[in-house]
Amino acid sequence: MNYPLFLVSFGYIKKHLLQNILLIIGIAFGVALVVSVDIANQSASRSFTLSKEMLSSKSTHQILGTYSHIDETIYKDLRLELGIRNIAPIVEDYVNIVELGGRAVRLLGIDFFADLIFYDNKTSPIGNLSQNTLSELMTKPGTALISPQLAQSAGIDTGSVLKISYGSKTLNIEVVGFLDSNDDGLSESLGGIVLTDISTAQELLGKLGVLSQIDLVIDENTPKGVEDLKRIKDMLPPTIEINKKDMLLGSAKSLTRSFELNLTALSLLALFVGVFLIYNIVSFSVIQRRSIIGTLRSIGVTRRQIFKMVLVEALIIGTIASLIGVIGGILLGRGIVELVTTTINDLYFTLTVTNFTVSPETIVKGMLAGILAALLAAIVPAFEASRISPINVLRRSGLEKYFIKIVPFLTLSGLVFIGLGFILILLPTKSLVLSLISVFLILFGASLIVPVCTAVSMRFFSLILSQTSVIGRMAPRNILRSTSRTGIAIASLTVAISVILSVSIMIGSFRSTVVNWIDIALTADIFISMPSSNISGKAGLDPALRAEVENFPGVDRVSTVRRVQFQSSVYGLFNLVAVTEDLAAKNRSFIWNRGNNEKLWDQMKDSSVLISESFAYRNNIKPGPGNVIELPTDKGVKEFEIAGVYYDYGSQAGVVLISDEVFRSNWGDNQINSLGVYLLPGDDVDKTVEELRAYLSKDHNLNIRSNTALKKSAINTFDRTFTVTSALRILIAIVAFISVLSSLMALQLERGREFGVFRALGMTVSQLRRMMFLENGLMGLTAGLFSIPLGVVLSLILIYVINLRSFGWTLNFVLEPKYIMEAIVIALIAAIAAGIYPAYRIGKEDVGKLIREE
Amino acid sequence: MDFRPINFVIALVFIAVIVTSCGDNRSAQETGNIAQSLSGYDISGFKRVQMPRDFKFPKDFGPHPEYQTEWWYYTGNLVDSSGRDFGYQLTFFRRALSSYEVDRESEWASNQIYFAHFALSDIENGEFYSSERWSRSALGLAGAERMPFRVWIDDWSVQGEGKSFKLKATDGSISINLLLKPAKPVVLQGDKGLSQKSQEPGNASYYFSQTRIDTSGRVIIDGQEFEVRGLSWLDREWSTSALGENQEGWDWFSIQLDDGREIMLYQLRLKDGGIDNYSSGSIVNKNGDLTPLKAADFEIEVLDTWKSSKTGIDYPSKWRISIPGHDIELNVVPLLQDQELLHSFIYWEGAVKISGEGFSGKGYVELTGYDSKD
Repeated sequence: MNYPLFLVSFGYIKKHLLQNILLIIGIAFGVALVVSVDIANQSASRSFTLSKEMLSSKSTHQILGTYSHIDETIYKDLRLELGIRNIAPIVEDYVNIVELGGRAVRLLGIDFFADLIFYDNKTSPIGNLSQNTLSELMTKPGTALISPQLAQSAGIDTGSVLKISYGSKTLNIEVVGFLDSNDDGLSESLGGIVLTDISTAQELLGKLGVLSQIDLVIDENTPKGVEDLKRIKDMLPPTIEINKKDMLLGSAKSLTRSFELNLTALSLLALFVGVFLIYNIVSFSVIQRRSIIGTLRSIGVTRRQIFKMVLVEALIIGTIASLIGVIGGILLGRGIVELVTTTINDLYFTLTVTNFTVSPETIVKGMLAGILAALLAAIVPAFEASRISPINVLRRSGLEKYFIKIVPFLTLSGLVFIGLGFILILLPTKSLVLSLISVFLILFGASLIVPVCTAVSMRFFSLILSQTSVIGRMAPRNILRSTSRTGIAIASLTVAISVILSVSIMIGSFRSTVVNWIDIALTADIFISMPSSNISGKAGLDPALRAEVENFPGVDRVSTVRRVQFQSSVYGLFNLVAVTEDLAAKNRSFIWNRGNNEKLWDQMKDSSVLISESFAYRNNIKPGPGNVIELPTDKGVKEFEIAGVYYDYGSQAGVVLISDEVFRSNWGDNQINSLGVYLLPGDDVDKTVEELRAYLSKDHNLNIRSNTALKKSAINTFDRTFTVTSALRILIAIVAFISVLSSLMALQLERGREFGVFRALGMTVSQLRRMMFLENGLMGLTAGLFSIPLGVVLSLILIYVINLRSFGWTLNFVLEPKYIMEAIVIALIAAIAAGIYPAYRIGKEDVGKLIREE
Repeated sequence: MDFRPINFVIALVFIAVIVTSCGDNRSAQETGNIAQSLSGYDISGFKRVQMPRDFKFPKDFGPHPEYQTEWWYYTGNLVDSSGRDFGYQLTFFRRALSSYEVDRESEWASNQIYFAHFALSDIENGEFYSSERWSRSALGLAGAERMPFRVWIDDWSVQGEGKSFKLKATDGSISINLLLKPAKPVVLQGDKGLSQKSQEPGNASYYFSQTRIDTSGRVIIDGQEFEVRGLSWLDREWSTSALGENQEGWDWFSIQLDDGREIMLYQLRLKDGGIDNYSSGSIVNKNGDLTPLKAADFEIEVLDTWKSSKTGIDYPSKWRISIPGHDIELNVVPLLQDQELLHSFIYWEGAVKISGEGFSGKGYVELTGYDSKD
């Protein structure tokens, strides 16, 4: 762009500063969302790695019990019989630090000598331990090391006691030293660790005689490595698997991938709305400068130069906006990371470390996204600008005529895009990415149809309003007359509002489904559970508690639940839930079951299992007779017939529901996670809760809640997991709001001359204002109305396609009127707000000046 | 001294072991980091070596956990039927973390730590292999037992069978499987088995040796098997000792002469370049009778040195040993120059050849503390 053209651009931008500031804010918000979600996803992924990997960074393989612990004699045999040397035993579980409000950490017990082979000497956190410390760790029960950061936040020093809760027990741990590394990553991950000697871990966690895991270093590229691997496999019992370390990390991580992808898609939706905003404003700037451009053309400026000028403007605005967006995204990122981490902790697995990573790639991605969006959105207007010829420059009607000519083409393309979107959805695939693409196609297609719909609805409005007043007749026609601009403004408004609407419907449907499910699933009068539990932890209540509660006055019967996270190479990560009775029995809703609900329990007692919808979906089990799953039990791999597939929203990883009796006879586990207490008829629930609390709190650390309280807390948990989605929805709404505000405001501000003419013809300022607000209101209303069908269709896709593909959950579609009201209200408020400044300006302008201006 | 991998482990055991043995055959005193690591280490509660004891065999081959430190040190020179020479070293160390054992539920709980070194010298090919193992004495992963005698870490072990011992060790493609039959009775070193290392009472160890053990069995290198025969040497020592400060390292010699005699000598080098008066040795005659040697009774002259390309350390590599009172003058030359062990602790320990007028034989030499120079 040469200097005179730059002056033209600069002059224009300066004159329409407000409009450009709004544009920058709009793009910046979109970019900020993309950046913050990217930060959240990357940080979550890193948190996971840090929470999981920690000390054994050099290990290549892991021996893991799919659920059961590993008998410690296996470790001894590996060393003594097979002479396998590069192995290290681990005893661990998730515990909660009382001082830190129950923050989850890993209590990790290692054999310091075996572990030596895994460390890098320079960064090893245990390489610099004094022998006194090591001696204390090994010979003094209940001693541990923690990181200086953890010690600081818990306010303790060496020699102090750290209180941790594990199941219904509270353990006192003596901190005998600090655990630090000069490697930043390692040092960060140490913040989620309480490190003890393996003997101490066994004693504290009650895991005598067993190991949680064995880490190995095996080089599969050497014949010896291959042979060792084979010998190890041959020696291991069927319940114990040896896997590559990455494989397990991968399978667990893949669970959150769809969650993260959904967040990314939401953030891109914001940017998508932003693209409309840019398109709008840039087209607008071209229209406003028809005469200047025409003049420039007539003095010899080429089409190419005009094209470039508009693109460079977009580039500059896009770059400024992206810079602001990236900074905003980093600030916003902290909050989003918190929310995402909470969701992962509630829904997937326990994270002991909350990482916050802003990678250079994220910044580059954010900048590119903003700049590309700006350029992409500016291409068409820039092309339009370059087409302006010196002759027809002053005839805006020419432009409108041209636009009307291409409306059929736009409409047709819109229909094609929508059709394409639906075809993608109907393809028999589980691809989440495809379904997300189809959402964008449908949205884009719908926006192309908006102009034609606008025309139709404005004719309709003009019919209705023709009886009211002159203004009522003029407003719809004014909109109709300038469809080239109003159409685009309404389209962007429609897209924005429909996205908000669809996400609202999806969350609402989800919530109502879950509330319904919680009602069915929670039937006992009182629930007794651990004060703080971790989804990946194996802790349980004192098994003796059951008898104690059963004999409590007023108690009719007690049921128990044992829930454990399983990890197998066949089914990945999932939950095995053992129950003493099917609490939901009669009311449980099934996709398919063998016989009727009442008879299922008998089948379960006979070693059949029920599986949740998400388990079936993830493992491609088609609901129907004849299916079995193979689970590694303590007695070898066993087949379990599937008696039913039921709806469950408690776990995305999926649930295998098994009768307690069958569970205990196949797995050596006597723990329970919670007790369901049924009271004798007429017994007061709240009173009994108090009595139980008073009676049990002496010996146990428990959470005792009534049915009502538990349901409330379950719904709170649900709401918490959806906080991040809701937050993103609000941010999209903000982008949409800014988009509408700036488009409509620009539209009105540009009509100076027209208003001047109206004023000259005798219209009062207040009439003009009324007309303007009416126009804006009409456009807002139209967009709101258009967004209803589009939003509903999108929500159907979200619920029945995207949610199913992401989480394996089928939700009940629930359309609450309040969501529609909300959508229309946002549209109207934005539209009316957009009129405030132009209305104020109108009163200030001098009629003669207005007319002369052009 | 350069402690490569894991300072604390070294501090914990190896150094302590060697340092505590100060005044015995393979003892030396702490140097550099060792002293720092060990200073203040608690020896309270352990038994001290203060009076000669009444040794009982085979019971005393087994462990003595009431003392802090203990080791079983096997070395030997072997030859196959074609005359191919091998040297081996298999040593086990025990170190107690505390003098008391708390009653614990976990099988992993233990206050005893073991570690071991295994080395094989393939003289003909000029190859030297060595490896190290560590373990706590728990769950049967490592330990020592009295009757029948056994000491082991993982799949490395020495097992007593009557008066014989079976040695087994494998690391990667290197393996030994040997049967050891003592040709002479046990000899008690120092003062009837009490080896004083400094003037302070208790700074001493119990120390006995088997200086000539007929050895046969198999050596495997990269799948190639060798039937071998030869002679081994055992040193057994245990103690609870604190440290001195002025010693730098030691040179230790075990010599098996073809005339049926064995000589053991060690020389403690002081930081100022002198030789400590607690250096000593012994001569065992054909019948197994032991004659103690004091520092003044022998002289060791270094004739040549060898520089390790891996560590840059200069080690002596040829000696002339004179014991004038016994008319002995011999040359000691390493069978292989590079017999340097690079594990938690860096030292040189290797097979040597004995020559001299009227003398021939083989032996083992250990050189420590050379890495603390410069």
